[in-house]
Amino acid sequence: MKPHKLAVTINLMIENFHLQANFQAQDEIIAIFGPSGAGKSTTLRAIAGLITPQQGIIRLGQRTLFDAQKNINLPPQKRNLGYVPQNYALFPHLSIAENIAYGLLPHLRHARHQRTRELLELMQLADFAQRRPGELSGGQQQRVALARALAPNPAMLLMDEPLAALEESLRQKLRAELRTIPQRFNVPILLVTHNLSEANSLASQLVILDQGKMCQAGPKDEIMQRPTSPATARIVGMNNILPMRNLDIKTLQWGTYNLEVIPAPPTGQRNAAPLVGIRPEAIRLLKADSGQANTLPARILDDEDFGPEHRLSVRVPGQKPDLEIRISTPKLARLGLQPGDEAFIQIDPTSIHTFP
Amino acid sequence: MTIPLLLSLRVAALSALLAAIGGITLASLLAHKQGLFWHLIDGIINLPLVLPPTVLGYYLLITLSQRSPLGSWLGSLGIHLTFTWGGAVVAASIVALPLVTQSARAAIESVPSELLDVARTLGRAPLAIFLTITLPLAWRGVLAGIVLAFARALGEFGATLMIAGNIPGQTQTLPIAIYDAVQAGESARANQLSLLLTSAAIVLLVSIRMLTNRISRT
Repeated sequence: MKPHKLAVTINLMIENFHLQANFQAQDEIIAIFGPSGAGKSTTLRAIAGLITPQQGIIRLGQRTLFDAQKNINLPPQKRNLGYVPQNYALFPHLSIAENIAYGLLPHLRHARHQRTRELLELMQLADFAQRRPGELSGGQQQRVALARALAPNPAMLLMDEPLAALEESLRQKLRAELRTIPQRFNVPILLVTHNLSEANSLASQLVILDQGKMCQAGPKDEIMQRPTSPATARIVGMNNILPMRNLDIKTLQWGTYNLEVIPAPPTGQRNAAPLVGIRPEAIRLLKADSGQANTLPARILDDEDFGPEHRLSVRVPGQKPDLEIRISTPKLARLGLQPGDEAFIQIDPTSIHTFP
Repeated sequence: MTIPLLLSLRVAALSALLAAIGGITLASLLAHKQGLFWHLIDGIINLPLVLPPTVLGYYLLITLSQRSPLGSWLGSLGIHLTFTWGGAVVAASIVALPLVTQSARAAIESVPSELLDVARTLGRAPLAIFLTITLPLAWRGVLAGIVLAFARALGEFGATLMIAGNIPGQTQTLPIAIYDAVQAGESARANQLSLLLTSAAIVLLVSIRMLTNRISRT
């Protein structure tokens, strides 16, 4: 079954913050991604009905949750959305079983008990049913928050920074667990994150926000490889933004160097001095000129060790700006290069993205 | 000695109960509210804290006397609040009300708002959320306010004297009995009664401290 389509157009002022978000998404896991202060959590809260935008429309499938012009504003109680805030907000005075049962109708005692049992089993919490939230680990608390939100069969699950409160070692495990939720519980997830790798590994659709403004929404790969603006490019980690000149149909000129581009940018988009974006992982570091297209001399300026990979800063003689390269740690070790060394870089012709 | 003590306990208990009902209701309405209108309401509730009790008692006397519209209406229902122990309850309740309201409001506002947000998204009605989340998490602060209200009502003097008078066996509460004893030069009696009130106050204040200390630890 295909998940409901979420369509959001909101215009919202709180204190000095102005949020304008406008996107449509339909997938199992959608991530709202952007730096802190982008308005991600505010967007999530507006969808949940916890804050009211001044203008706009929020629709989920056939249901209108909010429409300022038609005076429709369903209270959070009537939206049928599961909400999991950043710190899970478990009720500290209630047992795990009572937390999970909280959203189930109190007078249907049998159904309530059944559903709570079912979720305790599914979330591997049966042993903790009578414990208080304070006695559980971070990972267990998250499962309780998920179970509580899933209990009333919501139409969509809204999660604010689902992994931010967890230690690194748990994150990977819970990321894998989260990915299985839409299939197991037949519910799409809309989550908020400021962590690019988290957005990447969890979601197939991305919504990019920055400083209260909508940047871009769409399939993950399209946004990662073809952002529509340099600003969005930087947010999604396409950190090399270079000014070019158009030489011919498939060649760009960066200062004194010619770069081949495959495929050629559509003619409608050609302007004489375009900006291009290149992802740091699309630039290869070489010890010697291999004779391949787009090979340029470069000097290594700086090396930052991230454990499994390194981030290098390199300078192509006479060119600005300096380039950022990401390279796996073993690959760099094989090359034996370090800051100060002269080397070569090769830019994959298929990964040079010309901004429209 | 036992008659003023029993009367005082009865008046204080009933006043604390009334102040609790009114104070919790007002606190839940006032919690998280900003703006001139709410500040004004807040100010009016807190008025008994700063007004001289005689002023408060005088206002009560003119609004509840048989000649006033409210007083004569209550009188027609058989309720007489001037120079009766009922009047003492009204005076002590109003003096105690801001103590419950302030304490309960602080306790209610300290309940994390995300908990209430989640409860709303889970479909529960506002009153159900108040009774199942807010009150259970705020009860220590609320109870501390009620105990404080009881202590304050036990010691209430000025407003009570104005509206209920000093009728031995009927409206003569402990503080008024002390005043009476001093006036009559019975210093032994005044000493006994003062010591009694002071001990009661210390016990109550210690229990409030124990209640509120538990709040900061949880």
